[in-house]
Parts: sequence; structure tokens; C-alpha cells
Amino acid sequence: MDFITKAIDVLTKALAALAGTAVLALMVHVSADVAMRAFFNTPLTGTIIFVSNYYMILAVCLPLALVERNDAQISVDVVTELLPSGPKRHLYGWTLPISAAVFGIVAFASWNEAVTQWRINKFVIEGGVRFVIWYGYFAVPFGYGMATLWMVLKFIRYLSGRSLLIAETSDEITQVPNE
Amino acid sequence: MSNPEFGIFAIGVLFVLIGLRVPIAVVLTGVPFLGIWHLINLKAAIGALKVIPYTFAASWELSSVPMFLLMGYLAYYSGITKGLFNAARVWLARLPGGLAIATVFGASGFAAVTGSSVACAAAMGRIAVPEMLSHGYDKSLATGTVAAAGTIGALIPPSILFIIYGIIAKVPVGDLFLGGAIAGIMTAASYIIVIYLRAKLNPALVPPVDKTFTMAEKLDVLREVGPVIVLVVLVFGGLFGGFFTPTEAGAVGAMLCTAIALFQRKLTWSALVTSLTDTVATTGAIFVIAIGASLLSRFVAISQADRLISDLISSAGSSYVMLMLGIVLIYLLLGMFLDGLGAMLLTLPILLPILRAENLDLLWFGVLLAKLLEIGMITPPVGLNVFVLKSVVGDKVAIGTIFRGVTYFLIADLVIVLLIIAFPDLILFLPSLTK
Repeated sequence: MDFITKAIDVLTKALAALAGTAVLALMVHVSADVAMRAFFNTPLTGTIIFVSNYYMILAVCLPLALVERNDAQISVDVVTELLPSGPKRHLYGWTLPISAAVFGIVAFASWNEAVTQWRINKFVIEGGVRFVIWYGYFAVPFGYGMATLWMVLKFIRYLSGRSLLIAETSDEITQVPNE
Repeated sequence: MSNPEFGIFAIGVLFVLIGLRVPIAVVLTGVPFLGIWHLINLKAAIGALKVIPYTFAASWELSSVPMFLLMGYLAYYSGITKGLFNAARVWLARLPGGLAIATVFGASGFAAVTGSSVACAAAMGRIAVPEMLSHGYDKSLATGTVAAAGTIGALIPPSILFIIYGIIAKVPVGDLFLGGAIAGIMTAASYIIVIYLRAKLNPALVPPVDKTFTMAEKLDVLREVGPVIVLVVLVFGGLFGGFFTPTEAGAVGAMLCTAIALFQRKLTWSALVTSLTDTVATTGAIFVIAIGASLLSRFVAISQADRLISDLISSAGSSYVMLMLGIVLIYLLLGMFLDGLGAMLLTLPILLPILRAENLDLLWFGVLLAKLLEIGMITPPVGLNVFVLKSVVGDKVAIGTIFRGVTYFLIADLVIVLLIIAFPDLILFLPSLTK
């Protein structure tokens, strides 16, 4: 079990790193486009396609695994905070299969969509250049699918009476630099 | 049960599940999925899940969200905004409550590089609270000021709330930024008045700072904030001047921020990695809810629940005043329990069709909405800014003390809300000039 957790953890961080790289690429690419337009009056071809179909889809979907791993999905604690810790744990534990079912269905549907786009070799044309864009479609099932795996894993941890927190320390979730 | 009735029933279920601590994104995705399945069929429901997540995420317009997030986190983790409070402190220290007033100025400056209220409160909390406490400022005044001043972060551009609202409500983001800047400046001014009055009425709260600064020292601190001012002027000058789209403004801003931090030798490898990690984690958490809100919009439209609610409102013969009062109360109430973005994304799919039917100006409403949601950030029991501040100051100040300090600023906030509702032109004037 611990081996599986470790493996999913490594993959989660790799996906987040890829998403971070996409964010950096987005910043550099758009800045370069602005500079080329401003100084040479020749904007880069396909910037909008690169940004939306490559960088954005990776930056949005791939971190979903990290968000679920770090318990950083936005939820409302007000009512459940009033409960004693026992019932609170059970309530939280049993929301996990519901969450997993919902995200799992999204992963399933978007996987089918991605395969369809791959089969037709989906592309768009801008400025006479052909951009193949089916790759990005796979980011959706990867992101939702990995988040689903974490939910399932947490549910197993709940059933076996272990802590539901994956991140060992709170520092790991929010690092505040010392100035 | 008719379709609209089923729609309202489903919205009720949605709120119950959210109350049971099911993640908002899960509820906003799952309930519309089951709803569309019930109203049409499984194929249509799966079809929505196939298309909406991709089309929503693969968006040029929304790419300004990660860019402005990155700019804010870079400014925060590399500490290039630290000088803002220092500069305000040197110039304003001798006023009654000068350090608290400097905090509001510092927060307003930080607000121009960050789109988040929580980040603004955290940054100011770490810089300004120790300074105020060491000068013997009243704990509740010091922390209340920082928690409240943080809300300026989401009003003064860039603001993540405005970008997402703009895309959903189809209002130009640049116009929202301009309207938000006015609301932010009004808020800052009202907070300064509150601090000044409290200091005048009860000088014991804010012991005077007897240190004087020479003109040379005063000019020196300005040099430190110079690069930040250049950054803000370039980014927003370009955006409002029509040279940049919001995405371009964000990307250039993040790039300039990186360059400034590198130049000032403040950008470490770990600051860069942490900024990127926080950017992608926040982007993911925001978009997964926004994708759900997009599904909810589809479901509300299919069920026509919005028309039923609209009809109910008009058949009740409710006036403009009643409608506005209702909206303000709903958001103040939601703000007590939900975080701002969640509350907005949850309600817009239901509310926007109604607002359109009532012919309300959606630009003005966006700014009012942001102000109401920001009030929610500092009201108990769930005041995110207060919680973040508490985690920053640790055991030195009790959470009740912070909430008590916030009370005075809440009164100022309600006055601002009334002004925005009574005089929409306050907000609409500046954006109308760019037309």
C-alpha cells in the first residue's frame, strides 16, 4: 500500500512540475509575443493556440492531483466543525467515495473525448500553419483521474483507520518564507 | 415535479451537500450531471462532461488568472513589496495612528500586484503587525486593520474575482478593473478615516511614534519602491491604454516581477519553485470549481429554474430596493460561510439570468459583488483573512480580538456598499471614459 502511495505521490509531483513549466512557458511566450509586436511589429504566429490548447489546459488540469493530495479543494467546514471528531471523521470518510465517483466519471468521459480527438488527429490552422492540438485533451482525464486515485486511496486509509492527511506536515502545504 | 421545480430542488440538494463538507467542485460537477441525466438522458450528461472541462480550461481569456497569480506570488515570496509598508511608515509615522494608516497604504500598493485578499492580509500581517505591536499599538486595532486592509487586495486590480466574473458575465475585464480600482480606493480612504477617528477619540490605542525621519531618509525609501511603481504603471498603463489584453498584462507583469526580483537579488530558486507551485495549486483549485459552475449554468438553463425564480421575484412585486436588499443580505450571509470565489461561482449561474432580466448593469454589479464577497472575508464565523492573519501572528493575539478589531471597519464597509448602490456612477464613471 505504501509503495502505491509513494508511486502516486511521485507522479502527482511530476504532473505539478509539468503544470509549473507550462505556466513559465505561458509567461515567456506571451511576453515574447508582446515584445515582437511592440518592437518589430510582427507578433508570433499561433500564440493564442499555444496558450489555450497547450499551456492553459496543462496548467489547469494537471495540478488537480496535487490539490486533492494536499486537501486543498475548497469546501465548507462550518457545520461539520461543530461535530465531535469521531462523527466528523466518518462524515469526511464517506464523502470520499462520492467525490471519487464524480471525478471518476469526468475522467471517463474526458478520456473518451481525448481518444476521439486523437483518432481524428485534431488540429487547428492559424496564419497558414497547422497546429495539432489533440495532446491537450489528455490532460483532463489525467488530472481528474489522478485526483480520483487520491480520493480512493484516502477512502482506503479511512476504512483501515489511518490518518486521512497525506502531507506529513503543514509546512509542506504552505511554505511561508522567512524574511 | 415540473422541470423548473426540479431545478430548484437540485439547487437545494447542492447547498445541503456543500454544508456536509463535500468539496464544492465535486458538488458543482455531480449535481448538474445527475440533473441533466434526469431531465434529458445519460448521453447528454456525459456529453456535457466531455466538452465543458476542456473548453472552459483551454481559454485564452482565462490565462490571465495564472499570470496574475504568479505575479502576486513572485512579489510575495521574493519580498519585493516589503518596501511599500516601509515607505508609507516613514512618510506617515507621525500622524495619529500613523502605522495603521501606513498599513492601509502598504496594502493598497501590494493590492496592485496581487489579485488575492488572503495574500494581501498575510503579507501585511507579517510586516506590519510586529511593527505596530512593538510600538504599543492596541492588538485589536493592529490586527483588525491588517485583516480589513487585506480585502483591498481583491478590489484594486489585478483581481482574480474580476477576471472570472468578467468571463462568466461577459463584461470586459479591463472595465471591471477600473471600477474595482475606484471601489478599492474608496475602501482604503474609509479605512483611513476609521483609524484616524479611533486614534483621535482614544489616543491610548495608538501611542505616538516619536522617531523623526530626515528628508534624505524619506527619499531613500522611495527609491526602494521605485521598481514596484514602474511595474504597476507599465502593466496597468498598458492594459487601460489598450496596448495589452489582460493576459498580456499578466504575463508581462510576471516577467517584469521576475526581472526586478532577479535584479534586486531577491529571487532564490526556492522562491521561484514555491511561487510556481502555489500558482498551479491555486489555479487548479479555482478552475475545478469554475468548470463545475459552468456545468451548473448549463443545468439551470436546461431546467429553466432561473425563469421560475425570476417570475417569483416579479410576481412578489418587489422593487429595485427590495431586490438589492435581498442580494446584499444573501451575499453577506453566504460570505459568512463560503469563501468569496466559491460563493460567486455557486450563485452566478442562478443570479445572472435574473439580473439580465431586471436590466441591471453587470459591470456595476460585478464591483458591488466583489465588495460584498470581500466583506465576507472578515466576518465571523468564517473570515478567511482573519484566519490567515491568526496563523501569521500565532499565539500573540486571540482570534476574537482580531474579529473585534475588524468591527469598526465593517461599519465603513457597509457605508461603501450603500454608496455603490445609491450612486452607481461612482463605479461606472471611470470605465465609461475609456469608451
